[in-house]
Parts: sequence; structure tokens; C-alpha cells
Amino acid sequence: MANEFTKVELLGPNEDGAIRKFAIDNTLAVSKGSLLALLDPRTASLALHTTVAYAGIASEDHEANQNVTVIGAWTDGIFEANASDAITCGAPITGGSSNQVVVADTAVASGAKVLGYALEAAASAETINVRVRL
Amino acid sequence: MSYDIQTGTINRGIRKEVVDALVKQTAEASYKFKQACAVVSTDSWKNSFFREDPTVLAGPTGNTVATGLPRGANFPQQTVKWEEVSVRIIKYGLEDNIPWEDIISGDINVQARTVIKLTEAVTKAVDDNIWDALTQTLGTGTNIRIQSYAITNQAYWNVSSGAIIKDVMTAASYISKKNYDISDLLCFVSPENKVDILSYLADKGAQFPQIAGDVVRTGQIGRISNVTFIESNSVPTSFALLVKPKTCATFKQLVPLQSTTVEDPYKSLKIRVVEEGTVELTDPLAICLIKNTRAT
Repeated sequence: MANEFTKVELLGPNEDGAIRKFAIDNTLAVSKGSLLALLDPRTASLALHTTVAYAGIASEDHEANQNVTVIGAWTDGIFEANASDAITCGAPITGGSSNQVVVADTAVASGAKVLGYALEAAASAETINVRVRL
Repeated sequence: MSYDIQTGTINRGIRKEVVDALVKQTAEASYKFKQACAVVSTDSWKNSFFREDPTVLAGPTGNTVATGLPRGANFPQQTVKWEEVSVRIIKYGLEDNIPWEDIISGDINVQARTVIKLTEAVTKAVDDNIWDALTQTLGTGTNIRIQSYAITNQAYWNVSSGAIIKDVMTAASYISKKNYDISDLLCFVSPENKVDILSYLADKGAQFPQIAGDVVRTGQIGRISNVTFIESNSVPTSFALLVKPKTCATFKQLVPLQSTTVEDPYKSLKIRVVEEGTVELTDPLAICLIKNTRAT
């Protein structure tokens, strides 16, 4: 997948992006920096769209079919992300397809469906700094 | 699992792989502008100094000649002027957080390479800042104090009408006219202009200047007419910079380049590199920016 997130500042108590463990399907190939959707129970997947909940940003690659069923996800930090549409500075964001971010519709999105907020205004396809806080 | 490996299959069990532990393509950039500055340590966040008005004092209006005073007459008055310049320390730093397993179970030395690359980045940031300060952002900053000499008539250094030595000597004369000694100037040039200089000398039938043994350490490419030429990738192709080293500017260093590691046992290692300092452009008239050395 394209548009992987790039770490800018890792936050959290240990300033390591507050990496959390999630289960993941053994057959799934994930590249570092990919946006991970959250499935029940505490499982990461790549089924991204604007209304899913998010687990975080993959802090490592997950190679398919290696009998590895866990993955670490950054949940706290500032990242470079690609915007799929215009975003105003400070607007709440959620994920879209292809690791892009879009404005979250806070009328229907809350909790882990809101990825964080934009630290700068974005035009379509522009890469900006976003605050990820899950 | 299935027994799917046989002769002809692409598998490292059959097709042996050797991983070289030594990382390749590690050509490191070297940064060269600090040698133009006098490096002085400081323990102050704000560093101030005074620059004197270089104008030679003349008799004031109404009594313009300070010589030939009539006997018993009043002396003409003049006043010395200075400007105060203050600079603040700039902090340069970078860090990376490496998972523990990447350090202990990798084919390559991730920790060492990370230290080297972070250090390189911080050094480059400092060097770029010195370049910006010495050139006052290529003469586009505010309150320009450095001198500049623009090559005219498209006599670029890479064309037959180029007159490299004359241009450099003209720029040196600007510094000389401000009463600075020009016996040991440094001229920072781009790699493209280095080619132009050596080609020019060969074309004119001159001997090649001595290629200094210092080329690796300081980037020196030779010395012509008491000007030491230094090649740097940070110099834009259409510019060269002539300075009186150690006089033109001072690098006030609060913290020299250093690195540290913060260990989160069995989890990760944070590598952090820092340098703190700032440039005082103490003698901008000992600097001449040569413009139009190549077509822009």
C-alpha cells in the first residue's frame, strides 16, 4: 500500500509512540507506517474506510505467513500523513483508503473512529503533520 | 506447512544467501563551513556584540576638513558609531527509537549506523545554518551587511569568456578595500565550479594548483593567489563565497556535537544527537559573495 505514515515525533510516557499490541491475521502483509483498523477482539486489520475504528499506525512490518499473529501499533504521536481531501488546521481526522486521512464526521464518529487532528491545513493529496491520539 | 521445496524452487535452503554485515553506500557528506568561523564556547543563551561603523571619520558638515586647522580655532567634532547585534543559541537535534530486537538480531549494525546518520544530519543542519549566516541567505536576508560581487555579461566560469581568477581577485579587493588582510582567504565553491576552475587553469596552460592532502578532511581543492578553494555540496552552482576565515564570523558554541542513548531495558534504545550554537556575523565586510558563477 502507498502513503504510509512517517513518524515525526513519537509521544507517550516513554516517547516511543505508546506502542500497543494487537492480534493480526497470519496471512496479512502489512508495511510499517500503515494505518491499522481495529476489529473485535483487539485485532488489527487493513480494512480501512472512514467509518471504522482504528488501532493505530503499524510500528513494524508484518510479513504474511510467518506464523506471527501479533503486531505493534503506534497510538500516540505526530506523523506525516497524506490527505485525500482538503482539511482545515485543527480539524478532527479519520482514516480513508490507501492510508490517507480525511476530515472525521464527528456527528457519527467518536472514540477510536477519530484518529486525531490535523496540525496544518491540507489540500487534496498534500502531506501534512497530524496528531494521532488513540 | 507442506513439502514444497525441491530443486528448482526459489528458496534460500537451496540457493544460498550471504548477507554482508558491512552496510554499503555509506559515503558520508563532510561539512566545511565551520572552518570559516572562529569557534568560541559560550554559556549564554543570548550573545551580543557591537559592530563598528567602518566609515573613516571625516570632518562634519560645515567644517568638512579635519586638517588645516587655523591656530587657536575650535576643533571639528565627530562621533564614533556602533550597532548592537544579538543572536540567540539555536538547538539542533535528532533522535530515533530502535526496538531492542532490531539491535541484537539484525544482519547489520543498526545502532552504529543510526548514530552515524543522526550525527550527519545534525552536522549538516549546523553547517547549513553557518552557510546561511555567512551569505545572509544568499544576499536576500534583511539588513544585508556582507559584500557581493556579481559577474556581468554572462561571463560565467564555465564559458570561454569566464575570468575566474580575475573575478576572485576582484572580490578579494572588495575585502581588501575594507582594510582586511587578504593573504589567507577561503573561497567556497560548488562541485560544478570546481570543475570550471580546474578546466580554466588547464585551458590557460597553467600548472594545476597543489591538490592538498587535506581534500578529504576539509574539502580543499587547491590554493591559487593566496586563496584556498574549498569544494562543498552546499554551495549553489551559481555562487561562490570568499571569506577571511576566523575573522568574518564566530560560531558561539553552547554544546558541542554529542550523542547519548536512553535505554528502555529489553524494549528499545533511544539515540539522541544534539549540538547547540549560533553564528555571530562579526565582520561581514570580510565576506564577499560572488554571484553568477554559472547560469541560474
